[in-house]
Amino acid sequence: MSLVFVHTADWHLGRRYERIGRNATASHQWRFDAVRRIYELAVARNARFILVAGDVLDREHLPRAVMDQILALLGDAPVPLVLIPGNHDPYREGSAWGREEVLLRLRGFPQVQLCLEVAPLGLPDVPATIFPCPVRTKNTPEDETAWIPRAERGGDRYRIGLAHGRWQGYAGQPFYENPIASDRADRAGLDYLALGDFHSPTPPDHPAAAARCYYAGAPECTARDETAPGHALVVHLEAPGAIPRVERVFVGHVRLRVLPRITFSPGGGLGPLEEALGGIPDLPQSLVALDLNGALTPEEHTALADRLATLRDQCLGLDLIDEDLVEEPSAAAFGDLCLTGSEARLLTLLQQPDLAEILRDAEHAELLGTWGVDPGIRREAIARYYRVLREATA
Amino acid sequence: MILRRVRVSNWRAIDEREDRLSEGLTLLAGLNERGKSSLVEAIEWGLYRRPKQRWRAEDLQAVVPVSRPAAPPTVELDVQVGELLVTVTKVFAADARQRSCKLTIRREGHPPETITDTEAAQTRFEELPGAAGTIAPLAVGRQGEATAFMAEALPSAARNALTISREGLLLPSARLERVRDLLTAERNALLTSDLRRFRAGIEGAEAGAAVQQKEAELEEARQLLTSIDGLRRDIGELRRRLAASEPQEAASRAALEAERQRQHNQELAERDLAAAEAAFQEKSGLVQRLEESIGQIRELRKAIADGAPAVGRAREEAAAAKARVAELEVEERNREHARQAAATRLEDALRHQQALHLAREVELRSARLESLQGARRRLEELAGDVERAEERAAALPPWPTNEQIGELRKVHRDLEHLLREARTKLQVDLILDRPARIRWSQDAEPARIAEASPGTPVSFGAVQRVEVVIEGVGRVNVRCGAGELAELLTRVQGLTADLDAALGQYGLRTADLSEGLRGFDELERRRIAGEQAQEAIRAARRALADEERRVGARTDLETQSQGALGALEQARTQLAPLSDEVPAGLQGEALGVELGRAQTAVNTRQADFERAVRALIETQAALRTASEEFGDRKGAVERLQAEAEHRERALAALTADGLSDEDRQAALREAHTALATAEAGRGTAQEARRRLGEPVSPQVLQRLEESLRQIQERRQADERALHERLGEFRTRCERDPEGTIQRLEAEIPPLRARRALAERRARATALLVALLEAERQRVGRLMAGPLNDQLAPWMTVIRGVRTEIELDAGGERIERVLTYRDGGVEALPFSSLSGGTKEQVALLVRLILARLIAAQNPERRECLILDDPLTQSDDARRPALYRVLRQASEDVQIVFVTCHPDTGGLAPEQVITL
Repeated sequence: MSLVFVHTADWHLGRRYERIGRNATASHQWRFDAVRRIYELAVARNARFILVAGDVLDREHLPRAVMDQILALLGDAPVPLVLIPGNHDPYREGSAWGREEVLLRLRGFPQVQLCLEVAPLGLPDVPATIFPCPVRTKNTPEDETAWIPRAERGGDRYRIGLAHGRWQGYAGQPFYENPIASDRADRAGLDYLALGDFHSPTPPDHPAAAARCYYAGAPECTARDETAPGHALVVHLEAPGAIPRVERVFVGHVRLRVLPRITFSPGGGLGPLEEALGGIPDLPQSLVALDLNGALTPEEHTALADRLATLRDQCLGLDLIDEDLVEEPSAAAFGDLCLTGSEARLLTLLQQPDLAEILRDAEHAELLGTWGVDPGIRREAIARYYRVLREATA
Repeated sequence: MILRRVRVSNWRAIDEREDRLSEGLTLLAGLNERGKSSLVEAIEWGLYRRPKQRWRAEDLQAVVPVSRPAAPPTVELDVQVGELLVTVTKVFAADARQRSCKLTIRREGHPPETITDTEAAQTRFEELPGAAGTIAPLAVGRQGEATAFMAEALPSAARNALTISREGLLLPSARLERVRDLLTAERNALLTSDLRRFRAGIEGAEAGAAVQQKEAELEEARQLLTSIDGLRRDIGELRRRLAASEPQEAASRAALEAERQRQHNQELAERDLAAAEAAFQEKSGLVQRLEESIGQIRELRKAIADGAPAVGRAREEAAAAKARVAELEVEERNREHARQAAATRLEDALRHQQALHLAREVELRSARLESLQGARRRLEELAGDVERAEERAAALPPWPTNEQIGELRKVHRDLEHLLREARTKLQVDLILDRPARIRWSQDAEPARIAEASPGTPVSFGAVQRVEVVIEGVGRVNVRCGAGELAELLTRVQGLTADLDAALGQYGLRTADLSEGLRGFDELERRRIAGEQAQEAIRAARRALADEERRVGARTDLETQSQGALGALEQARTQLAPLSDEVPAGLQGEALGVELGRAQTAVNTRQADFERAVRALIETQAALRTASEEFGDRKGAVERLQAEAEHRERALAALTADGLSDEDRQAALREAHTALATAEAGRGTAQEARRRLGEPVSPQVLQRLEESLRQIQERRQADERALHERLGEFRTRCERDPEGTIQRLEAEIPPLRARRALAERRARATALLVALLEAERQRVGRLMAGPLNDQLAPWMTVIRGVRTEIELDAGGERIERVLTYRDGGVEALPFSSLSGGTKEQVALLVRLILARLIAAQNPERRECLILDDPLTQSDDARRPALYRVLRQASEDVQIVFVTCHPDTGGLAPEQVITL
């Protein structure tokens, strides 16, 4: 008898994508919507249950209103929903999962199985044994899956592990916190080890996948460094011991578009940005992550500000890194101003490496000298000079 | 650039005119309101795109002739720029409020180039090197306004043209000045004057405040999170403690209950043991009482049987003691008689001795009385000596005291001094310049005559009266004359009178005084005799006093004599009844010998008496001992008799029950049986009690209770603390610190970037302002040298004295004007100069700058239009100023505009009269 279930993790309910400014408020709801799409997916695929591999909550302590909203969401699960706490929402004193009123509410949802203890779990009419590995602390050097008893694959029941942690060697390096042995699935005879923690789903060709260990990734993006977030996994098992067939399904609302770093040059215009943006097919559903650096003329800088303002309205959110982007008038721009005499000399002075001699008689000469060797201040001074000259010319 | 031709039409009051200008000096002359300034204004408009900052379309509207509002103001200029001849035509279409510009450029050998597009034409014209425009090398000086230079060709020092206002300001180009204004305003808005108190303007401050606030919130959230972790640890710890203390409490409670049960069992066993012990004691008492009564009966019977012989022996002993007492009483009486006899003998010896003592006392008292009487006689003799000495002293004549004699000596000395002075004062010296004969007299002596030589002083000693007769004429110098002599005599007489009065005061006549003065030693001897008499009195008194001290005062001596007499009488009275004891005639040394023998007899009798007393005492002691022994024997007899009676009564009491000895023995056996039973019961109870161990200590119980109470209190406290912490934990968790941290960590970096940007901008602005000021100062400093090089000779020509200007430290203002006069320097602030001098300095500076421009480009000439720049200069300086202008026109094209009729000395190449 084959078995189909949905594997998801890292819902991080209660989290906002703060870096996108005014759209951050809306991002709170994105995650709830994604979970409901997972429910729909489970129903659509006739999944027998849904496994959530930890980090259902973004943090241990959530406001009561948010917690009520989350509990209502859990109560709406159309199929058995098996949850374990992760390192963001560990089961420990005072955490959300440790609160009596929360547990009381959850007991009212028979389809919700919140696993707080390490004990094999069976679901009614499901030929599978689930081995939940709840997390009880944020960071531990212990392998929470170590308790799963050894066994051989191929019995009469499916053996499915559910854990939250770091699969050893997943990113090519060892982990010392919340580790999970890379051979756990083999040693425990698991048909599938549903994992949570990494927000990107496990590629099919990853060694972990070969070891029947999968990360489902977050169902909605939480940061710009995630790769392909917004997915859930539909797992097909034909028989105990058979190789699982894992299907990645997009359930998110947001398409995270992390564009490569764009380097501007003064006078070069905003072409590189427009070119990169042009490659986004679904801008209205995208959260665009930009990393801008280089230099722009003051006019270009102004134009860029206008363009970014427009872009914010066009997409779901703009995660912008532009600390290294500077304003730098071009030589041609200064040439247009026909600088003469002291005007030109002033520009020359601003381009000199050391202004201490020039400013030796000035008040606070030492302080000004310190500022004068700061490239950022120097660059800003040139830009200011250009702007003021233009204003004076007009 | 050289302005060759000007054609203006429909410009204010100018209908139409065309003028050609000289390459050197052109005079544009005319009375007021003839259109001179209008013509200059038209030229300026023709050259510049914006000749004035505020020259907008509505400003141009004013140049449209009132009488011909539809006529377009037109300006056409021929400007020579190097090889090019450029014709600029500008027309203002007043109805359309538009300006048009056309440019025609001619070059020899080339077809003319015409540009009709206004913007292109204007731009092309500005691009011509040295042509008009925003950077045209033309200077237009207006009367009463700041004079502007727009210099392109100045050397680096003066690259930007300057404006010299009537206040002496040197200003950079208008654009750079505008830049400076903008930056300064921005700097003032962003920064404090003291850069060390840095702030980054409103935006920076807002961003900084927001960062600060959010960082504080972040810190608060982190602390809240930390406190939640701490609370979690506390809660876990409390739970662990409660879990750990629960079995402790149970164990403590169980231990207490067990101890209490043991205590209860011990109490029951104690009660049983006490009952068994009581039964045993009861039985034991019964046995003991029976045994005792049997034993007592046996003892009493035996004592009664043994008691009778003892009473007999006691009575015999009592009788023997009584006989001994009687013997000792006889002996005591004999000893008493012996003691009384010894006492009698002793009294006799003592009486004889006392009589001898009293006889000796009478002798001594008598001798003492005689001694006192002798002393009294000696005192009386000494008192008589004193009286006699006093009488002898009283008999001496009275003598003066030392003070009186001292005064007399002083008067004597004064008199002698006065007399000597009088004689000295009478010295007369005469110095004559010619021979003279002098006659003088003294007292009653006959007159004497002396011859005096010229220049030689002649002295006359002790002169009383001088009469000088000088033969011929000569000068007479008299040191002392008759007046002084009379005065001295008067003083001598006064002193003599004072002396007489003083002598009279002591009751002596003047003659006696004289005698006393003469025989002063005699007087001294008298005084010494008196003093010796006094000394004799004092010696007698001292002797009397010494004697009195030795024997006592006379009153004391009298008292002692009376006492001695009384004592003598008392001794005699005491001796009278004992006179028989003293042999007649016994006195003196014999009395002393007899007294020694009496003392020996007394001592012997005293020893006998003491022996008799001791013997009596011993006998009395033996008697007391014997009497006591007799009492004891007698008491023993009585006691033995009482004991025998007591035993009889006790035996009667013990046997009063009428039981037989066999009955008593049977009862005793029965009691012993009951006692054995009770003892067995007591042993059982003791074993039961022993099995229950040591008695439960109240302290142990109290300790157990205290331990349990402490455990319970700790648990209650832990439960309360747990409850409180859980409440606090939930409250703090509800504040969602992690969410707050996430939000703030996302919000703070952009704010920090904003703040950093604002700070960078503020610092950049400050840097720019500082650089601009440094540049201005540098230009000013560079300008000062060339300016002074040319200004000094010209001002010397104009003012007649060497003159220089001095710029301020920033080089942007003519601060002072130095005038070298009479080998010194007179420094006056520019503002304090007269209006004429100020405009002359300004004119010369403009000329110098124009020449500096021209010097940089010898192939080109520069054009300088001076619109009546000498309105306040007087006529005296005008010729010199004209010479300077004339000289300057060799290098620079000058258009000199004036309404002044006298332009003699200017010698313009071209004159335009309006």
